[in-house]
Amino acid sequence: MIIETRFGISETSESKIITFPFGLPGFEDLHKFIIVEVDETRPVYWLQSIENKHIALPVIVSLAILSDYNINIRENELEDLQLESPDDLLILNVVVIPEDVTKMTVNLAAPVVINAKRGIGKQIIIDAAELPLRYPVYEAIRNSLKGGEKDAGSVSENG
Amino acid sequence: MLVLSRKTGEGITLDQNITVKILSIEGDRVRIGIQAPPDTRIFRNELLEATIHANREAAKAPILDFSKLD
Repeated sequence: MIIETRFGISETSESKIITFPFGLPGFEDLHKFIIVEVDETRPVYWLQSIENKHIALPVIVSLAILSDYNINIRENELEDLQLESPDDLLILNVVVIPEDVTKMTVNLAAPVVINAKRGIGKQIIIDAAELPLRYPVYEAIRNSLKGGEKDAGSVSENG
Repeated sequence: MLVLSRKTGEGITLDQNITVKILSIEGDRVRIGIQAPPDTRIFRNELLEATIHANREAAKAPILDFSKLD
């Protein structure tokens, strides 16, 4: 199917659509998204709304970029996703990219959890001191592009 | 919205197994104790507000070229 995105016209398929039954905080009326890969912005991907072509949230896989990103996802949240196997779980975090890109931050407190197999997602909120809402992530992203200095992006001080 | 008034030491029960207790009051700060099943989602409201703002800000991101940055 052809869809319009922030990046222009794109080709996708029904199977790639992720349904967010609760929408996203701030976008409660948007329920269907796809993940768009843009070569230039890697490792930032885009959670593109199918219902509103102007809305695409930049996201990263924090687990791949930061060492020590530990989150505990409650069973009932996983049930909402109809998750059958942990292999099907994809965890993304929304990044805020200001004018000065070196000041970009990632929301570690509210991961977007997705059942990649069934295409169901939701953004959950975890209230924990070690999960900041605006964690500076530019350095870690730069380092991951240079080839895997995972330690540079350690979240917790205890390592 | 149900509005109640409680004194230190008093509590409220939600459903069958969530209890909220007023532990202490100091000035305008109330210390609250919550006992709930581990599956219960509990978070400070500011986090939801802040996530709403962060998501909306995030949607305004420029489409940058990381390969050109250093």
